[in-house]
Amino acid sequence: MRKPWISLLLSILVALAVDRTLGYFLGHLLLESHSRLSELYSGRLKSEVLLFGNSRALQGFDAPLVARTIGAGCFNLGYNGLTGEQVEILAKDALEQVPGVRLMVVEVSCFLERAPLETSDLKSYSPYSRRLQQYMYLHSPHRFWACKLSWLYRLNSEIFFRSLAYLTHSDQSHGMAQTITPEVKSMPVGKPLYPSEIGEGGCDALRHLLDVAEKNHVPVQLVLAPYHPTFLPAFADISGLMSDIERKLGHKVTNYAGRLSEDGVFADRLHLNLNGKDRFTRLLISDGIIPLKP
Amino acid sequence: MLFNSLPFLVFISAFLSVFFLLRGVGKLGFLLLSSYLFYAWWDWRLLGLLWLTTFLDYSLGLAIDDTHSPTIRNRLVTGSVAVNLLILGIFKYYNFFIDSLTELMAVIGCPMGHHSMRIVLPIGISFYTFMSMSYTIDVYRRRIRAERSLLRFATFVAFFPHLVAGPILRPEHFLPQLHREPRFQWDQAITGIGWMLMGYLKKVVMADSMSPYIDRIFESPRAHGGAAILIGLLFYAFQIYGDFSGYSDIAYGVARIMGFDIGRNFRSPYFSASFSEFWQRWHISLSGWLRDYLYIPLGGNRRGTMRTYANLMTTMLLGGLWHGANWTFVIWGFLHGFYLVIQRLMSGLGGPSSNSPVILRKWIQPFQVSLVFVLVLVAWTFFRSPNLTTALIILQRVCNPGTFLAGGIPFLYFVVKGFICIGFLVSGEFAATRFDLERTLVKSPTFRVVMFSSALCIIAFLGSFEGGQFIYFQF
Repeated sequence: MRKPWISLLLSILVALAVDRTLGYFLGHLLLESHSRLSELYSGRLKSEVLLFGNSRALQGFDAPLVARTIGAGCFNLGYNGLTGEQVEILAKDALEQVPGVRLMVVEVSCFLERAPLETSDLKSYSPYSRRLQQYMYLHSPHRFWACKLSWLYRLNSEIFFRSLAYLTHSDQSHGMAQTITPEVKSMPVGKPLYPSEIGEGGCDALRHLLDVAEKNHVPVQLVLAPYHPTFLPAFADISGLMSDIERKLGHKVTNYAGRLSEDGVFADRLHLNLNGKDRFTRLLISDGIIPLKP
Repeated sequence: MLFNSLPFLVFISAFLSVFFLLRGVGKLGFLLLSSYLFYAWWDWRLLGLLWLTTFLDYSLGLAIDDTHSPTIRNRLVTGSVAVNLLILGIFKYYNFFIDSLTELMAVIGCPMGHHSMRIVLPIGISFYTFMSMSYTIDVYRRRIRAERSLLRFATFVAFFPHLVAGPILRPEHFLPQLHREPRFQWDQAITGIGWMLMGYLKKVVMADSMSPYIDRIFESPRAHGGAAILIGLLFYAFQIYGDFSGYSDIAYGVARIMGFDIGRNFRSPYFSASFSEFWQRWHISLSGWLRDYLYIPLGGNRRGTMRTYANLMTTMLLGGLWHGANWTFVIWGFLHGFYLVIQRLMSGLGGPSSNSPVILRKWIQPFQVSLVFVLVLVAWTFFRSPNLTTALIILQRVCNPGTFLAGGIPFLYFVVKGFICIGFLVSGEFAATRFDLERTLVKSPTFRVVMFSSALCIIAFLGSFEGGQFIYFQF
C-alpha cells in the first residue's frame, strides 16, 4: 500500500466537497419548498393573519378556512415541538419579513412547558435567521459549530425531509384524520403536569413577543386550544393559570381548553383532528378572535 | 465514555497518538491506564470492583497453575467461580431474586418484609466477570498457563474497546497478543477505520434513528394499532442489531487500529436459516462462552436426546438471565431454547439436508430465513418489553385484525427513515457476502475514498446525535 494517508486525507476532502455541494442544492430545495417555514424564510410569504404555536397550533388552526372566510391571507406557522422561545423567534422574524401583517394569533401551550423539549429541527433554517443562529449558539453550541462544519448535518432534520413532500403544493391543509381511540382516552394522566402559574422562561418569551408586536402595531390574540376532557386533570388549576398569565402580561388569554368535548373532534388527547380543526377555527371566527375584517 | 460521543473521539485520537510512540512495558501500561480512564469516565468508584475481580482471578490463576493437587485446584477454581458469581449475583440479581421471592411468599400467604436494596449496576460487569472467570477455568483445565504479569492480566480484563459491552474475549485468544508488541500498520489502520465507520453507521444512523418510534410504541402499546406495533417490533430487531453490532464493529475497528484482533461478534444474523445458525451469527462471543463453559460441561449432546434438550433449555434460560434480572429475559431465553429444541426435533423428521438438490435448498432457504426472523421477532418482544404484561398486550394487538389499523402510523418521518436504513443495511450485508470488502478497502484507494467519504456524508446527513446510550451497556 503506497502512501495510504493520502487516501485518508482525500476521503475527508471529498467528504467536505460533497457536503458543500449537496448541502447547497438541498438547501436550495428547502427554500423552494412550499412548507410553512420555507415560505417564511424564502421571503415569499405575504399574509395579513399569522398563526403561531406548537403542534397544537399546527393541528388546531385551519388557515385556508380563515382565509376563505375573512377574504384575507392567513398562514399557519405552528410546528411540532416548538418551544416558547422558538415561537418568539419565528414571530419576530415574521414581523420583520412578512409585509402587511394585521393580526397574530398565538396558541399559548408551548409557553406553558416547564422543561420544553429542545428540538434540533430549526437548525435547517439557521442560515436564514440571525435570531435562530443566536438561539442555537446559546442553547446548543455543539450543534451551532457542527452546522458550520457540515451543511448536510444542518439539513439533517425532520423539517427538511417533510419539506421535500411540499415541493409542489402548500402544507397549510395538513391535518390529522384519525379519531381518538378508547385506549388513548383511558391512559392515566398522573399528577398535574401544569401548575397554576406560568414559568419564568415561558412568561418572558411571551412578553417579548407581545412587546415586538406592539412596536409593530400588530394586535395579538392569545388562545389556549381545546384539550380532550380526559387530559384536563393535567392542569392543577387551568383558570388560575390563565389568570396568572393575564395578570403578569396584562393581556387577555381566551381559554378554549374545555370548549370541545366530543371524541369525534380529537386525534388524541392533545391534538384536534381535521373535524376539530374546522370546528375550533369556526369558533375563533364566531367569537371574534379572528375578526372578519382584521 | 460513549463511543458515539465527542469525548471519545478526542480520547481515541489522543490515545492513538501516544500509544504508537511508546515501547514495551510503557505501551502496555499506557493502554491499561487509558482503559481505566475510559471506564472511570462513568463513575470512578466502579473501578474498585474491576480491580477486585482482576486481583482475585490473577492470584487464583497463579495458585491453580502452581498447584498439582487436583483437590486444591478444584477448590481454587470453585472459589473463583463462586466469588465471581457472587459479585454478579449481588450487583445484578439480588433485587430480582428478593422481589420475586417476596411476591411468591405473598401469593402463598406468607408475606415478607421489604428487603430490596438500592444497588448501582456497574457498567460492563457481566462482560468482564465472564471473561475473568473463563481465565481461571481455562487455567484449571490446563488449556492455558497462568499469566505471570499482573500488568498483562489487568490489561486483558480492562482492555477498553471491549470492556463495557464485549465481545467477551477468550484468554487463549487475547493474552498471547499482549505478549507481542503491536506495531502500527497501515492496512490494519485502514480496515480498523472502515469497521469504525461501519459501526457508527449502524449505531448513529440506523439504531438511534429508530429509537423514538420504538420507545413510543413500547411505552403505550394500547394507544397503537397492530400495524404500528408490528413496524415497532421490526424496527426493534434492527435497532438492537444496529446498536450492539455497531458497538462491536467500533470496538473491533479500534482494536484493529491498535494492532489487536478481538474477533467479530456478529455475522449477518438475520440471514440465518436455522436457530443454531442464528446463534453462530448473533453475539458470537457470548454463545461461544455459554457453549464452552455451560452447555458442554452439562453434557452437551453426548448424554441422550432428553438430556440434550434439557441442556439446551438450561443454557438458553441462563443466557437470557445473563442479560438482566427480569422475567422478560428469562422468557426470551426460554423461547430461544424452545426454538432450538424444536429445530432438533424437526431435523429428525427430514427436510432439505445437504444431500438435497441445490435448487430445492435455494427455494426453501428464503422461507426458512423468514420463519427464523419472525420467531426471533416474537422473542424480541419479550426482550424489549418492560414487563410480561406489556409483551402480551403487544402480541395480542399485532394478532388482532380488529385493531390492526387503529390509530394510524405515528412518527411517519421515523418510519420512512427506518425503512431506508433497513434497506441500506440488508443490501450492504448482502453485498458483503458476495465481495471481500475488507480486502478491496486495503487494495483499492479509489474504493477507500468513495466508501469513507460516503460514510462520513451519510452519518452527517442521516445520523442521530442525541447521545443515545448503547442498549447492551445495561447488561
